[in-house]
Amino acid sequence: MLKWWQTIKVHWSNTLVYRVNFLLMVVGPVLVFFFVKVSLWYSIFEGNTEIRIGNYSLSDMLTYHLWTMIIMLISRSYNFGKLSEDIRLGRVSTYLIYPFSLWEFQATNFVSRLLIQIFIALFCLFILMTTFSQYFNNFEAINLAKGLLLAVVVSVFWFSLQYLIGLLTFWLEETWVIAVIAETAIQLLSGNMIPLDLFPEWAARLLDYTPFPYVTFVPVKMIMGSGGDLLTALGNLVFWILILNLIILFVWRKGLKLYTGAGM
Amino acid sequence: MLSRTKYYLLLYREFIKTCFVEAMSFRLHFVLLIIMDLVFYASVFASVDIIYQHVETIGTWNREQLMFFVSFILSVNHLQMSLLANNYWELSLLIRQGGLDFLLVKPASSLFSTFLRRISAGSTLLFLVPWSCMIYFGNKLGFTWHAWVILPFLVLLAFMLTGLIETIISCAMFWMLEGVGINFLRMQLQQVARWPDFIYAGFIRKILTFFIPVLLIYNAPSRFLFDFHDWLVMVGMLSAVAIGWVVLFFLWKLCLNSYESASS
Repeated sequence: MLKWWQTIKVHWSNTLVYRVNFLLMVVGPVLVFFFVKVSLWYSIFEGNTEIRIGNYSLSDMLTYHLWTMIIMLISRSYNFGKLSEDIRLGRVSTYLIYPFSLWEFQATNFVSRLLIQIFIALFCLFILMTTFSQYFNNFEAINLAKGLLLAVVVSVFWFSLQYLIGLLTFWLEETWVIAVIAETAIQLLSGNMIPLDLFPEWAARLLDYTPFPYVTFVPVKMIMGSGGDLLTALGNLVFWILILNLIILFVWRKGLKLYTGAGM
Repeated sequence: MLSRTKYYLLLYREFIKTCFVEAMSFRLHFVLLIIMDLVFYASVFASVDIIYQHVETIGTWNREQLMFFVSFILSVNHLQMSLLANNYWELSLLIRQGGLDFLLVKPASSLFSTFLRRISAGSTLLFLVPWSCMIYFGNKLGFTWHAWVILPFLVLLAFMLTGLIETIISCAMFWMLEGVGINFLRMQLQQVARWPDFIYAGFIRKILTFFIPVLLIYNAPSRFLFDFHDWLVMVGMLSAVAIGWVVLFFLWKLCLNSYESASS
C-alpha cells in the first residue's frame, strides 16, 4: 500500500509541475465543449423555455449538459500516451524486474489523476450550483451520489480502454490514432453531444447492446432522476470492464512475446 | 523572386516525397489515419442530421445550409490535417529537446521548415469525401456558377486563416515548459469555430470574430456563398488574413529570440 501511496504522491507532483498544461489538457476541453453545447442548444431552442424537443425543454437540456460536463471531468482518462511511450522506448523492461508491475504503476497514476479530477469536478459543481442555481432545482442528493458513483466506475472503463489502446504499441508504431477514433465514436454514441433519447429509435435500441450509453447518458440520467436501476447500470459497466480487462490480459501476454526491450 | 519560389516548391516536393515514403513503411498506421478521418466525418454529419430530425432550422439556417457549412469545414480541416497539424504536435518536442536548432541552420525560411515539413500522407488521400459532400449540398442549395468558381479560392483562404491563427497560437510553446497543452487549446478553438457564429452570444461572438477571428474561418465564406450581398464578412476575413501574416512574422522573430536551444 505504501508503494501505491508514494507513487500517487510522485504523480501528483509531476502533474502539478505543469499546471497550465494539465488545465489545458484536462479541464479546458471539457469546459469549451460545454460552452459550445450550451450555445448550440440555446440557439436550437431559440432561447424559448416553452418549446420541447423530444422530452426536453431548454432548461432540461442545459441541465443535461451541466451534468455531462461533471461526468466528463471525473471520468476522462489519458493514460495511453505514457504507456505507449514506455513500450516504444523499452522502459517496460524496468517494470518486469521491479516489485511493482506496469499495470500497478499505471493504475496508481490513474488513481492519483482521478482524485485530482474529482476535486476539480466538485469545485466546478460548487461554482455552477451557486451561479446557475435554477438548473439544480429538481435534483436529489441520493441521485447525485448514484451518478457520481457511476462516474467513478466509468473512469475505470476509460482507464481500461486507454490501457488496452496503449498496449497495442507492441504491434503499432503509433496508437494515438486508435485513441482518437475511440474518443470520436464514444463522444457521439454515449450521448455526450446529443442525448440518446433524441437518436432514431433503431439506433438507440442498437446502442443498448454496447457500453456507450453507460459512459455518459445513463450516469447523467441517474443524477436527473430518470436513469433506471443503479445496480443494472453498475452491472453492465462492470461486465464491459471485465471484458476489456480480459482482452488486456490476452494482449499483454501476446505483446510481451514480441517485446524487444528497445534501448536495453 | 521566381527562382526563390521554384526553390521552395522543389523543397516542398522533397518534404512530400519523404512523408509518403515514411507513411508507406507504417502501412497499418496509414490505414488507421484514413479510418480516423472517416469516423470523424461520419460523427459530424450524424450529429447535424440527428438534430435536424427534431427541428426545421437552427438560427436562420436549414438542414442543407448547415450540411454545406459542415462540408466546407471538413474540406478546410482536411487541408489543415494533411499539411499542418503534425507540425504543431512536433513543435513542442522540437523546442523542448532542441531539435529546432537543426531547422534553424538550414538554408530555408525557418517558418517554412518548422510548419510545413510534416505532411500527413494518409489524410491527403481523403479529399474526395468532403469535396463530394460540398458539391452535393451546394447543388441542393442551387449555387450559381459564380459560387462554384470562387468556392476553391474560399477554401484556400479559410485554410490560410486557420493556419495563421493556429501557428500564432502554437508560438506560445516557446514560453512554456511543456507545449502539448497548447495543442489542446488549438483544438478547442477548432471546436468553437465548427458551428455557425449565430449560436454564440453577442460579446463572445465579437471576441471570436474580431480578436481571435476563429468564427470568420468558416462562417464568412459560407455566408458569402449563401448570399453575395453579404460581402462585408469577406472584407473582414481578408483583413484578418493580412493582419495575421504581419502578427506571425513579428511574433516568430520574438519566438526565435527567446528560444534557448536545449541541445546546445
